[in-house]
Amino acid sequence: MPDPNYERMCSLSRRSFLKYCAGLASLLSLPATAIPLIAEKLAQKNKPPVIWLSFQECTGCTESFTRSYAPTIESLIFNFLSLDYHHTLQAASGEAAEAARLDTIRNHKDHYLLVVDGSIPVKDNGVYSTIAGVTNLHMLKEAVNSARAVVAVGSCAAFGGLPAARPDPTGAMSVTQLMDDRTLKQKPLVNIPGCPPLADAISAVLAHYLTFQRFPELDNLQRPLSFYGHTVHDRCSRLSYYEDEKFAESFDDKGAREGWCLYKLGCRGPVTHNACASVKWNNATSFPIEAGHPCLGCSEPDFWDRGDFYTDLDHLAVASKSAASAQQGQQIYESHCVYCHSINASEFSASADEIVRLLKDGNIRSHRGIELDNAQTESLREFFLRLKR
Amino acid sequence: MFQYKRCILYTALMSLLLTPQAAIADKQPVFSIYDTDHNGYLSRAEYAMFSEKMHRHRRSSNRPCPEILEFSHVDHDQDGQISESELLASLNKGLQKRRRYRFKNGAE
Repeated sequence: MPDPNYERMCSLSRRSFLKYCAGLASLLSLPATAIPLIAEKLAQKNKPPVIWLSFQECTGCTESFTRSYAPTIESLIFNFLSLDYHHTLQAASGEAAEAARLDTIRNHKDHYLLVVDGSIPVKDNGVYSTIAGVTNLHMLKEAVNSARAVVAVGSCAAFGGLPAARPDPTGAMSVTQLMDDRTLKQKPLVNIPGCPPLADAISAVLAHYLTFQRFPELDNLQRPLSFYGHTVHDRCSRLSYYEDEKFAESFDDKGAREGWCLYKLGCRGPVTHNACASVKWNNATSFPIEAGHPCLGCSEPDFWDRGDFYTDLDHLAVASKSAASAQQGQQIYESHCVYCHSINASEFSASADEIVRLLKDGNIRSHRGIELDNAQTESLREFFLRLKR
Repeated sequence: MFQYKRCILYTALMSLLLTPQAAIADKQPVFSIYDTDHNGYLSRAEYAMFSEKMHRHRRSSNRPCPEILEFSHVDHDQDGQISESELLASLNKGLQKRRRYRFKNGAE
């Protein structure tokens, strides 16, 4: 039921509010028919309670969230949600803050939304990070048990992030991992990775949930497809230079000054799924590549351990048997091999090395004509190796 | 005895002459599993079957998958079927595009 005092409450004109709802629908790739529904749901009187737990993190995700423009952080907190617990944003502290968290868990069982940022240390019974004397793992278990759904914000909560990078001294785990191994109760989960994630992705996913009582369509890593369905490269403002083979070779050369493609400076855009290039940051002002720095691939799993940030993807693919290499191998398989072989690569009975040998020895007529170079062959080998593990 | 040998020779000769081309092609390794009639070409129907499988795979995998090549883009001579060399040419073009930016300064 829309609140008749809604406009007064949030100091928004009806026109601005509808414009904002249209923006949200656009961000989430929803049809125009969804706009009235979004408007109705967001204007309802009953604001869903939200508990935001921060564990092994740097507060970058919260910093990003506070720079949300559609909707703004104020409108989210004061008009659309009831943010009952958030270390950084709540006024209460100490016992009063913890009491607010426990009250919400008790009084809104199976109704509140749980937002998590930061990874969860599990080594040595989780002693490496505690809040109010309670381990992160214990606090998360308690909150997940009664939550309606969980939103893992940032790469640390979604994939382990920096705390889980080698040598991973605290045994950092992501929410997904803990749900997969049944340490946590299984609940609807959405990952919004990034270091930090796009503010608009966080707020739009929350708005989608408020409107439809479910998360938007997700990919295999539980990321919303509307934000993570394409690579940064696909929509990059420097894509035309890539196509024209114009590359900056160093940060101060002619190419860099002309705004050429940063692929050779280590850009991870081609293997990174995120909407940075289309949604951009700080009210759509810019994004790292536009500002002159290669994409670090922060919304992909294990991005810290995928090799030197300033080595280009091709050299990485040759030099290391990394996940990026396997991903390239998968792309080669799905865009080339499937025309002659089964779509399901796991149907190959031969080992990864045997497949590479068959590709190279030239005895198979069609393979003789395929022009795979060493890096591409190695990527395929890495893909098959991982597939058979 | 002589009659018997002649009869075998004649039968063998006739069977060679009368064997349809497709049956011979059956014994050749096909270049694609979608060449279901084993004639060495992918017809529109065979390619459509492959496309349908790929679309189903894309939908079920729930993640971005590479686009499927258009039949008309692969069928360079526009004869309504795709030969091995036409397919290889299209695939190699894709592979080349993937690596054309690489090793520009001569170092591998």
